Amino acid sequence: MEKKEDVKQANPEEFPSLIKYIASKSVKGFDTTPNLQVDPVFANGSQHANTDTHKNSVIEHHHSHSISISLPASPSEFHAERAKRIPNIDNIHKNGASASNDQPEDSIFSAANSEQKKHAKFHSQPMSFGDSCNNVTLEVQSKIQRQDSLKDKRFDSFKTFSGKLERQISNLRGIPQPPVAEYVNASEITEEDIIPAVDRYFDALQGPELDTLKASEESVLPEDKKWPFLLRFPITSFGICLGISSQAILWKALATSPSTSFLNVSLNVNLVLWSISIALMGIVSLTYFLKIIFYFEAVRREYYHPVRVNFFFAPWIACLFLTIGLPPSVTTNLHKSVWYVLMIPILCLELKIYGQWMSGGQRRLSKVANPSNHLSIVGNFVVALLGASMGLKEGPIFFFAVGLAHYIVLFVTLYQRLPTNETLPKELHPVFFLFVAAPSVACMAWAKINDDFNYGSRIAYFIALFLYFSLAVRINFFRGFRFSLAWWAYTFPTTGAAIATIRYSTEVKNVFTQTLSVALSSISTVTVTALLVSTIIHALVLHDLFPNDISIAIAYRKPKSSKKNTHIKATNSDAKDIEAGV
Amino acid sequence: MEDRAHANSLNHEYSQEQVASESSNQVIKRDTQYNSFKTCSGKLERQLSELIGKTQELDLEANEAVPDVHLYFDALEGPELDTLKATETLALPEDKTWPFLLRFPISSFGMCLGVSSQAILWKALSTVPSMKFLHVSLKVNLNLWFISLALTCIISFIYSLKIIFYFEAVKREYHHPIRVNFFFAPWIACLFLALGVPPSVTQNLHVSLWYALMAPILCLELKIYGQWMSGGQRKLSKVANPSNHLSIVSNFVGALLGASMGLKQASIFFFSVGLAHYTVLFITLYQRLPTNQPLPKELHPVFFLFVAPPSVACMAWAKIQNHFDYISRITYFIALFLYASLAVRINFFRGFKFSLAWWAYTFPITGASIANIRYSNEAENVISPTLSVVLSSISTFTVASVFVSTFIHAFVLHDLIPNDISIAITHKRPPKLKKKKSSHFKSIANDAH
Repeated sequence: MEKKEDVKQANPEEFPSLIKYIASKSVKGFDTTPNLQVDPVFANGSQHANTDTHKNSVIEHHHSHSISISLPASPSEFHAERAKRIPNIDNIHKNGASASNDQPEDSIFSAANSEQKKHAKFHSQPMSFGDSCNNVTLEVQSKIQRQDSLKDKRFDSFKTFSGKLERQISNLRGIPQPPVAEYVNASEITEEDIIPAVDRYFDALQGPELDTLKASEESVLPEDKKWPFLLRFPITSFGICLGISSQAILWKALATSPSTSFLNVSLNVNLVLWSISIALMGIVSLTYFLKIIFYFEAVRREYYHPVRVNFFFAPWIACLFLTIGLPPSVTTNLHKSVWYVLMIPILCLELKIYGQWMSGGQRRLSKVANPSNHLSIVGNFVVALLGASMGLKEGPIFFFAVGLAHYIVLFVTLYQRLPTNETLPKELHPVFFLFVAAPSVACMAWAKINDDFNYGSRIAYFIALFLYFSLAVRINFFRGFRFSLAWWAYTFPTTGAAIATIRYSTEVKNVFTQTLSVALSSISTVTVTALLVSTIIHALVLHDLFPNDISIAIAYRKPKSSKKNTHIKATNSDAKDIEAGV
Repeated sequence: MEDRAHANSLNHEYSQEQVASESSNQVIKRDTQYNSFKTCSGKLERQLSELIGKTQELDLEANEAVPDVHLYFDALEGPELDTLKATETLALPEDKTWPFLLRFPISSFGMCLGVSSQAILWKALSTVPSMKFLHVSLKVNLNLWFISLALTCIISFIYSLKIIFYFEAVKREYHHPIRVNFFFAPWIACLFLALGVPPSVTQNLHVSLWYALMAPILCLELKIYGQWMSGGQRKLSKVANPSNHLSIVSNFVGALLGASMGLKQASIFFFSVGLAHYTVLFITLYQRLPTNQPLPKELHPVFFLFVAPPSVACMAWAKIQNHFDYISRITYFIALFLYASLAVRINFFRGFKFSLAWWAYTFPITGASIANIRYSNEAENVISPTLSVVLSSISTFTVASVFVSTFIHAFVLHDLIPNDISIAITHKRPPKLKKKKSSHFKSIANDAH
């Protein structure tokens, strides 16, 4: 144990697993290892990734003294470790045997272990007899050079076809594959076939949006490099569309509503904003579409992320907003089929997500509840609003009812702050503004369905207003958060509340309501402007608008004996959060 | 302390003089024991003595900060978190009777709630058409109203004295996870007084009264509901207790008064805020989450607060709508069912030590009977007037018996206002840095539980 700690101290990041099996003697050529279990040479050589305890002990007892190096389980790990590895070879050489005993603690072990389950092949390069570690170093260096030329392949595991295709072609030819290419394949098998379980997301990530990697975890993609743009482009980017298109609706309401006619707002503002938002929507959709085509694996991982999945509603909600905010000069009558087209994907997503809440399993509500779930609720009310303003009756009521039922469940659950809710931010966070969204849209939808701003609408409106106030008086707590694109999605509730206030002030027209609507509208516009400015700064000045999207790159299997560890870690991070809060 | 004095006197090594000097020291000290809870005196004295250059040996730092909320949970037990656990120690002497103001709790306003709701009940009995057959005189209402007005004035006066002289104690009551709900009680009592105002006194109250009463309620709500939502130590899954209904019911009472004054929008505002948070609280209390430490294990009179919000909400909605429609009926029947559900368990409501807070638990019963009277005005049948009479007599009887016990405790047993243990818990940790860490660990441990 002590020795192992030595190793760890010398090299705080993990060694690629196989390096740890270096003994002082090597065995001649076992380049082809058809069956890991049978090959005696292989078992002797301490070579492959299998770290069964008795196999380790065999290695220990026989002292086979073989020097052999193989590449790590995934190329990215190799690169991450590359810099540190060479100076430490000596260290490993000394401590190798004992280090391998304690192996199960390491996360790479489990990665390797599961690879073995999948019968991935590992090909290693034999060393000559009686070598010293100088040779080892040389060998490693030469490998690094080879690996460098293949840097581009590190992201292959997230690509849609490339890896598989290559492998299939080479298999067809029957050519023994060059070792490096095979590693790409090996990692691909494991990462493509298994999506990380939802537990892994909770274990490996932290933060209110589950977007920061815990210190103990490692990413399957290189953390120190910039990934390809598409891989860094998150679904939360659709939040920008939400923010801008809701502004278009706000300015349309300001221009057309009789209660705000004293402001003399021109409809041109709406037209300009609408054009901007439709252009933006086109760009973002196109980019994300490219991501779907080229990095389907990454999209899938986003979809399985317990917080991110809610943002899959954002594109459709943004489209609905675009239709609602349509400038009168463009068209006044939309065909009803638009509503049906937009409502179907929302309905399917809801069936999926609400079903998961109800039917339990890993994604039950008491575990995944997070204010961003409001995005999945608000979709219903937006659909109902658009449908009712198109003249449909039954469809909107259907969506309103579904939204209401699940809104009550979500509202209560979020307010309770159950201790099992791992995704709920410990402290206030901008995401809490999504609380305002659902009731404010619901109030407008109910008013449209009834053709009258009746008591039901008023109740919903006042709930939204109270929640808004309740958050606004705590504005001091909304500080010191790292900017992220997802913030855009949190602006539309303030805009929604402003629109609802305008709608309310047409019913109850007095100085107070008019002042309130002007105040809320300006707050929402100022917020959006501020966000726009910070987005531009981050994009053009700091160049970090799209940081590496850690949330999708977590390893798919937790370190084996980590159950205890993660508990301790969780408590530690709790303590950190509390401390930060204090 | 007596024991100690006793031991001293028995001890032969101490001479009589020594004992005398020690006890005289204690007498001097005793006067300063409560200083840490006083508003200025302690600080002022310290500052003065610091100016003079004297060293201070008062145990001030023990009481300087208000305890964290988990300390309340750790140190206290019982359904109202008002009993000290055996393992804990107090910041104030346990064996003495404290100064009256220090013992005077905010829950005394419960008395105002109980009596003023009776005034409303008797007003309804004498004015509602369906109750005409009882021939109740309006004078009962007038008398009850004056009694409750006087009571409210007295209690408010005493409590304001406490605010002035023992602000630290008030602060500790405010941070107590259950007591904080009773801070709604004074305002609700005022709203009740406004609702039950006898027709002979005035017919029309000015609207500004409503605004004046609702402003503090709104501020308290923003504070408390915000704490539920934004988490930290006072999240709802931890502090939920039936007395939270007091914070909910104030919305509905406000809506009722506003609607009867003719304010429509503002009434709907409070009604909807109340509705949203009532849903949350109702579900949370019914779930009895394992993390809910202050939830009484057994039934307790505090459970009668369950009846309060729906019965007041039904009247408020009827006033807003100007007629007793289906929504009012739904809430009315919810209240009635909850009432019946508690009433059949009346056997379990036994063996509790009487406390002043019980007064606050009588007003839901009165509220249910008032709602019943309103309902019987709408539904033309025999059962509902009978039910109104039964419920009204139950409520009057309850209030009368609570009144008698209060009387007995006040004048016979002299223990109406015992030492208010809940405000005197200590943080038992000498250095400040250590406290922070240990409290973290505790909260983590709590979370883990």
